Amino acid sequence: MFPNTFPDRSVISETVAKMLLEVNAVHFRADQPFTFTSGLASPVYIDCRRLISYPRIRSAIMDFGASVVFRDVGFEQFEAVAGGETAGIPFAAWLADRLALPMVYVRKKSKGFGRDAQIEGALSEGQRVLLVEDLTTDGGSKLKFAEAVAKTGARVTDTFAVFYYGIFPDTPRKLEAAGMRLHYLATWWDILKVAKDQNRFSNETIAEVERFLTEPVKWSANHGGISALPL
Amino acid sequence: MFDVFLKELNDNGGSVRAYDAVARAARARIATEPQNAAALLLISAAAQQFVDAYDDQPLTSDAATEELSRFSALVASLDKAFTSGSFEDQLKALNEVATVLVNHRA
Repeated sequence: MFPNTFPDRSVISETVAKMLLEVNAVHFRADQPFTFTSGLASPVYIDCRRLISYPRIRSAIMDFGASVVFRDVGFEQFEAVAGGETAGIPFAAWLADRLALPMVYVRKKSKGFGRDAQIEGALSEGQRVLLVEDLTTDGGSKLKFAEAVAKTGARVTDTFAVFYYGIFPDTPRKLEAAGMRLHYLATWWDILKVAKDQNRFSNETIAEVERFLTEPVKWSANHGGISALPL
Repeated sequence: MFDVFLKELNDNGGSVRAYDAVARAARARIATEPQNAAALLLISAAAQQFVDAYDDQPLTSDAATEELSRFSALVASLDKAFTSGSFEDQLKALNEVATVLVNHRA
């Protein structure tokens, strides 16, 4: 269960950024960019799944997550937690435990045969659901998961991610338009600050990353990626 | 004939979402083009292979370029056979693409 402590938001963000760097979840590579699911070229990549292998870190992150959800949303605002396939599932399970709530998980696609289930677990009409994923980029996957939940008659009112890119201004608006409030622990800006403080990367790398974070679409277009974000 | 799929991919940076769209579009066309069903099914399977491999996984720009080149070659060979080839050419292209798909992720 949740230890009922509510650390300062900035302490949470800095601590999570340090954790992500400590477990080598953060990759900066300007010379050979990554291609995101959307087609955006990027010098940064984060693998939040690495967190699941570090029990002390994941435990602290889940406590942080519970404190953010309780403080920002309330203590009695959900009837269930839903994990998005696949990386969201372990985080949803641990967070559901902290929040003392039932858990389900949502497949990216229904099986297409048999029960044709897209939701696994018990979810009832009218239930308010907290959707959990490891990270949020442009929010595209969350909209799809929320649609799947809505087909059961339940509704996703809030979504939680350990990490939020924080560089696409439309993301919170897009999620709000779909009836979801976004909650998260850290962003690329927190990572950048800690990376600078710790001198983890060369000045050139940091400068390139900063250029991307400031103008991601322009950086993408200049490095072979898409030049406009999909609607 | 099948080159529209390549345009879709190129316009969207060879991204996972673009391959996913191609996989769905190729499957959808089978209903209206039963004479091309086998080729469309293989194109859909090839696009889905990419989605399964890289969804949630890091995709470097080099790997994306390499994958796009491989996919383009598969589609081009099917396109050529089904646009101007004989029945034997079509069968040969189908078998070659199916073999490539099986061996690629083996």
